[in-house]
Amino acid sequence: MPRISPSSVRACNRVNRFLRLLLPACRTVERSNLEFKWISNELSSLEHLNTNRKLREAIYNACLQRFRYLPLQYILGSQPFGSLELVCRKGVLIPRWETEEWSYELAHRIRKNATNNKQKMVIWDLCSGSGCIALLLKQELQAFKDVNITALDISQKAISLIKRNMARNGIKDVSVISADVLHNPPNPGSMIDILVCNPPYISEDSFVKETSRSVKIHEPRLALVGDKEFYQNLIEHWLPKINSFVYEIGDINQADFVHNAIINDTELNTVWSTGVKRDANGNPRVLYGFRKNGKNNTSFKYHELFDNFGKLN
Amino acid sequence: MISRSLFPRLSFNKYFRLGPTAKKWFSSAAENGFIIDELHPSLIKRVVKYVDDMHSLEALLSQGESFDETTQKRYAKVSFIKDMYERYQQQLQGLEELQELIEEDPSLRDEAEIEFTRLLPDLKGTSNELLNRLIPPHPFAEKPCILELRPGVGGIEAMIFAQDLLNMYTGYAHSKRWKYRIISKNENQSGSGIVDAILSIDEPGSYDRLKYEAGVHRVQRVPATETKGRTHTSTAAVVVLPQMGDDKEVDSFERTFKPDEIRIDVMRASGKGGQHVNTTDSAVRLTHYPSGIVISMQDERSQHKNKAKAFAILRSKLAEKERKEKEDKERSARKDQVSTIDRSDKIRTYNYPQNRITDHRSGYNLHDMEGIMSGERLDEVIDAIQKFDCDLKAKELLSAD
Repeated sequence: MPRISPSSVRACNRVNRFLRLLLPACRTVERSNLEFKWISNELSSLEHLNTNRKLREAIYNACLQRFRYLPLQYILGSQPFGSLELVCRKGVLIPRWETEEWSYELAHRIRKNATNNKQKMVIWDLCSGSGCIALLLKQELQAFKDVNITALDISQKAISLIKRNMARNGIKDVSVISADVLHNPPNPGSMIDILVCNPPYISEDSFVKETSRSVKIHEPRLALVGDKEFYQNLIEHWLPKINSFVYEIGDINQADFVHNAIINDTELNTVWSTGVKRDANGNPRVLYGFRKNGKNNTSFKYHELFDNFGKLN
Repeated sequence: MISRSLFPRLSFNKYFRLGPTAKKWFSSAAENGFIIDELHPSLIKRVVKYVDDMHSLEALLSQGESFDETTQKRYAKVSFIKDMYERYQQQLQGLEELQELIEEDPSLRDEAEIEFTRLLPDLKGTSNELLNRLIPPHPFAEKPCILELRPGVGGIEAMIFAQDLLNMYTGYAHSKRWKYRIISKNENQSGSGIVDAILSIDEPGSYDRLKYEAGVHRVQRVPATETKGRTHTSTAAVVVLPQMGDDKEVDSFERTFKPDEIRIDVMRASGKGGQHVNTTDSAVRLTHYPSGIVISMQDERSQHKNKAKAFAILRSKLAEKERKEKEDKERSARKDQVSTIDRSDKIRTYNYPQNRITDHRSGYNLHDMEGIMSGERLDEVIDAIQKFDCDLKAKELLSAD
């Protein structure tokens, strides 16, 4: 990472003396300014910081934490996600904008393709973390009373955060299950219509070389580092139980892995189509797949749901 | 003799009534707030024309001719205008008599004042209705508005002036108790002033008042950045847009575009993205290809909100553009030569050394820089332009037929 030029430190000092603390994490003066504005806006709306002195101290502390690469989302304790405002706590992954992008689109597509308000649907969200995907889907599909959403995570911190986020955003009726999906996956009982998952997908190698410092130091490794375990788990355990899946990926290899496994299996390749969706930055971001002819539940046309969602393999 | 004996009494009354703080250069009626808002003479001329028309139509009718449908419609319209005009004249006359009473007869003054304030709204209602009949109201008259401010020539001084204008409009909204919010504001990195700002004024009908603010505002003063005491001339541009629909409709509005018409860029660095970084960058850039409009928005932490804001502004811009095109088309179809407010670019000068604000369209002068820049007396300037615009429209109407 290039070093910060003294001239931008001076530019920051001209504005105010806390601003330069934000430079290492923000990199540019402009972004530092913006983050400083957010920090001071959000802190000044807090009631216990009622005197100037207290507020100044709080802002200084926030900047100092940012100087140590603590993510802004942990400092301010929240991250907007679509129309939701999610609580962020140390120990649980911060929702990313890429996830927001695709889950928002998915929600819109479900809404558009649903036959009517009585559309029955079972959605499971594995590795839910802050619960962002499950809660956004629930929020956007609140008109559909028969859409059942379940969020799963192995971490107790995540489980309590999901519940907190539900309360904060006034969302009800999302089941939260604490479960180890890899070693002891729970039984869904009925067919899952859409299985969504944002598994840890950064490989060991990439974690060292390509992951930003703030993520490395402060975000939970449990939610970040993984290779192909969850994609393996998808093929071995989940495929027979689901009608479609949407998995976030960090690398095209992960999509190829699942794709090849399906292609090389004479039974699976007659049933499943898979595709890859890129994010707004052009990186491959989502691996999705669906049964060419939905099983049991034929009321929903998955090829229409995922029509042009990404590129089919 | 009589006039000489009357004169001191009148002036005494005046003094007595107004108290020592009264300003001298107003007429006494104006000072008390008993002003009658009369219609512009050229509008009256127009009305008289209609009344003449009415009479000739009536003459035809009395000769036993029958009207076809269009003439019938015209007859209905002019007879309505005539009725309105008669009512207007009656009310005006009544008020003028009251005004006289207030000025000349102290014994009846209190009652006359009460009567005057009671009747004034009636006249206003009648004249407004008459005005609406004659001049069609602006298509966005009922809308809330968005103001976009950008510095023009003049470097940092222009940025400071743009900031001053922003303060003026927020002050104006504040004094009117209108709800407003700053949608986006980019401050100058190296010092004071703004690079651009978007102010949303959420009061329905604010567009109708503020639409006259669109154009280039010029400032003449010794800038804070000037070391040798020279006066500089700088400018800032103001764009006024109508607000179309509310935030909730944005989603459905977004879907009215074809995918190849619109492009949404998120401005992000290269790299792997996803879980690898936890950026807070939420900037959105919206490009609308058919019109070439580009909107960038980065003020909110939420990308979703930035996008919604960008779409709201795009919608306003498209609506304003469409209206302008339509107006230009109508104008060129008539080929008239009457100049209009929209075309003149430099609309107002703020001269600090002389403590003077001049509106170049109406030629209106106001010598109170502080009052204007705080937004409290902006109303007076807008009133003047509104009258001027009304006058222009009336002239346009007269030349139309």
